[in-house]
Amino acid sequence: MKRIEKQVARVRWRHRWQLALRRLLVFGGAGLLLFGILVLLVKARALPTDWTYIGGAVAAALAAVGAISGLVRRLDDVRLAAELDAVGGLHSRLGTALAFAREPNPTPMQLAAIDDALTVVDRAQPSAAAPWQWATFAIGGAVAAIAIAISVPSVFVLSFPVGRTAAIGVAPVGSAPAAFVRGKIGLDEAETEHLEVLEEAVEKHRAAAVDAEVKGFLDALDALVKALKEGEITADEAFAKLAALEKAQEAWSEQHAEDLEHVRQALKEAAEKRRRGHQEDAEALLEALRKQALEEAAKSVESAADKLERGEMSTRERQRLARDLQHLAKSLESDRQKREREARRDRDRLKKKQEREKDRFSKRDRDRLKKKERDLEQLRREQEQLSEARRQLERLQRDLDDAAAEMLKRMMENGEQMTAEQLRRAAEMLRRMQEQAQGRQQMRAASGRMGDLRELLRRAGQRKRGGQGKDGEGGQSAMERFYARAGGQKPGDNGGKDGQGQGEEGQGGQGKEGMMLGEGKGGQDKLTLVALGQGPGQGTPMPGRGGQQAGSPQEGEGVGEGHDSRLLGERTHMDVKTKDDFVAGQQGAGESASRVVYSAASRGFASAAYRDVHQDYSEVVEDDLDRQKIPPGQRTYVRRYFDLIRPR
Amino acid sequence: MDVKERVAHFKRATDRLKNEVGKIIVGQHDIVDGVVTVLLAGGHALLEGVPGLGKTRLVRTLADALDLEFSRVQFTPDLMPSDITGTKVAIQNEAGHTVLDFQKGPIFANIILADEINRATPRTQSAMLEAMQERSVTVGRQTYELAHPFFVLATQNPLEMDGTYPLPEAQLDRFLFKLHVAYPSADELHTILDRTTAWEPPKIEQVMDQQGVMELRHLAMDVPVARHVQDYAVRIVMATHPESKSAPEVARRYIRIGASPRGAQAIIVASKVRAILEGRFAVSAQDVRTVARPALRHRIIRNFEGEAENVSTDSILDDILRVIKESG
Repeated sequence: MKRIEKQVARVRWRHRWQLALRRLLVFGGAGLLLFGILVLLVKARALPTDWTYIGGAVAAALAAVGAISGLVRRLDDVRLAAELDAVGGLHSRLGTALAFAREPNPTPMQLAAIDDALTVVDRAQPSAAAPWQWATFAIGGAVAAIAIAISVPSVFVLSFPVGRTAAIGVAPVGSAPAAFVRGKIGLDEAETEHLEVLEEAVEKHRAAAVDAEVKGFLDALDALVKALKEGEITADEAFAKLAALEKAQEAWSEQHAEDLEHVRQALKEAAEKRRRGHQEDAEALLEALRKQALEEAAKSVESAADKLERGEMSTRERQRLARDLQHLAKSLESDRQKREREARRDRDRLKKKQEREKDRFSKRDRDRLKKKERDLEQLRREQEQLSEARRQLERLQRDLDDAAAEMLKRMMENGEQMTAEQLRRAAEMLRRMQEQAQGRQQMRAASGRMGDLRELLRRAGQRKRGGQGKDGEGGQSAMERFYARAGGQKPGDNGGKDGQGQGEEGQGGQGKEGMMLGEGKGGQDKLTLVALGQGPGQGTPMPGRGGQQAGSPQEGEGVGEGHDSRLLGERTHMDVKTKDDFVAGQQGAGESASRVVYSAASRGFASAAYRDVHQDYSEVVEDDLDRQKIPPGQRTYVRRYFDLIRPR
Repeated sequence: MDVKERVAHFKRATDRLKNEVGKIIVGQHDIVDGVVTVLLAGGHALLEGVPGLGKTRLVRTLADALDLEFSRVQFTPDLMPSDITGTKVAIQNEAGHTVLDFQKGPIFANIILADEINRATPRTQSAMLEAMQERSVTVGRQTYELAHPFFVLATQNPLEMDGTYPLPEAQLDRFLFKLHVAYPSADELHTILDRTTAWEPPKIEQVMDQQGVMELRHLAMDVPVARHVQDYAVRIVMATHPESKSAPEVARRYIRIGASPRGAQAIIVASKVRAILEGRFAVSAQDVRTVARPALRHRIIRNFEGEAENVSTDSILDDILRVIKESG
């Protein structure tokens, strides 16, 4: 039997090796596929870099498992012998002999069959029973080699646009589609200049920053801009850092700046309400709050505290100040605080009653006391969920209220020290609110700068790719035209269909770009962009731009009909009739001003310093960009425009 | 005598038998082998072929060489069951009384040639086939055992189907083999003419008697079958079932009803004889493959599509044997 078993063993190993090779290819292929997917995910920043090694290890392990499982695969000897029989024409002798040999009590006929098998065992052909399938393995090996040759180098070569993928997760709204960029960024002259402007703006914000977090954020942004300028980082890294900064900015905004505007408005309204009285002592504070100048308000509160501390305040003055602060505090009191105050008062009353009556305390009162406790707990939870700005407002209200109460209470006891301390705390709170407002403004400005930076990187990347694609080509030429126009030049080419080319000619206008700025009544320091148009010298606001010929200073009055195909969305159907209108600032009780400002390149009358005007307009535009849905690619034109006309 | 000697004796005896038959029947080795296999396996054979191919001659020669009682029944539409089985007739016994005595019919023989069996009415066919299965005949209340060995060779003509009664599938199942008798080749035809047109036909010697046949039959049934070989037979039979997962496309498409377990039995029994006829001590997959076609071709019922497209059961079986591998 050993002779038969030996032949069968040879067939078995041939099968096992082939199976091992086949499984090596199949499992290895599956592992390679998995590895490829992981590499793609890593490149897309969906997974950390370590996963590349994990994927490689898993692929290798899979291949090894496949090969080993093939080598240790159990194969039925009788079946293998049957293969030998079939190939050698042995009439199932070997398989039958092996099967009969396993019988516990073989019959004489079975024994004879075993003997018969031994006479033909030399005719067995293991190589024919399990021939090597070289052709299959060669094809499989070639496919595997090609797959490895493609996938492994892709770990080092293939690079995804990091900014885009990261930004999808971080800032889904308004993020510009990033281009495929690799290696150091080559910036042209205009882009370098733009980057310098960005750097300057970021440095300015950084210098003005008070809040540590905002300062840290602006430091990081400044470092990024500097690194880009020096060419120290690749586009991938730049996009990754930009995405991280955007994420941090969003987190900060959510945490700190929410409801800030509401709080400032509440302060203003409270101050206005109190203004109806004629108290002189708190006038400075109220005026500052009305103007939403929190720093000034803080100073006035500190001044009152100093005066109180030095004992320079008469009893009458103190009374008036205390009443003013009390009223202000009452005006600032939020609904939640009111409810809390009432609930606390009821609870205290019920507790006193409980102490007083003890055994006679009714069940109804007990339930009411429990309810009040629950309400207070609920209100406390609500307070925890308030934004930082609202919490600060509540603290301010509390401090003012306490200070007023203390002042009224201590009048007899001459305890000015404590009251002054409370007033200083209120001033500190006002300062903090001011810092937060500043921080929010700086962060918002930084957000705009980051958008510019992203757009700059995208354009640089597109240019690096050879300016292929409609957007890249068109965007570049549009940018050049834009630079030329923003620089005060009249372009020889008005962009073909770009804009509205069929308007009527104007009536001999001077080609100046006019803007009208009105200020609200009552001394509001709020800028309102009334009209931003290009028209005749009188500053008549006209939407659109006329069909301008090369070198012609005249501009059309009518509305154009063309549509720039590069712009997103449907064309604007201006099928409404327009009429000229004049909007003037309304005269109110407070300070009011109206001014006409000509372009920076123009000489003429100006009622305000150009630097101030530029600052005002930039902020208004930045607000407007935030509010409106403007494609990121177009925002950069607006920002770039204001960069180019900045005061130098 | 040990096993090997008995097997050798078996081979010698059957070779002598085949040689004797070969004196009359020229060529047709497959048919001769098939008939001998069926004889030693204890079954019955259905020979199908056009007239004049030597079917009847083959059976007669076999009977002559075996020293067995032979009878021939020519099936016609007016043949009655009692014409085959026998009937009771009124005779006077020695005492002068009239008694009913059973007169045995031609079925009481060792080798029966049922010539053109499809020409008899179903009633008569049924009586014949019942006797084949039960190996006994019941007349009135009396049951009569048939002789051993009892070997029926039925013939049918695939042409001239007018006025015939094709055997129902249930009765076809009683035949171990269905053998197709083919035309002889030109050389074989020359030899046939040389032998049969002389004054004296070749003389057939008796090489085996009834006892010898029964001994060989017992020995054949002792041949062992390994499990993997039996598994091969089972897989072939299962593949004839259109609902089976292992059935090839052609089987699923053209077969209505596949082979019954009796088909698997026929394969194994015939394979045993086949193995020992070749002097081997165990059944091989090749034996199974060889006997599968004659053992199964009449047990497979084609569906309408198969009949309409005239797909033969042999071609279906060829496909099945091509798909089902010996080594599994």
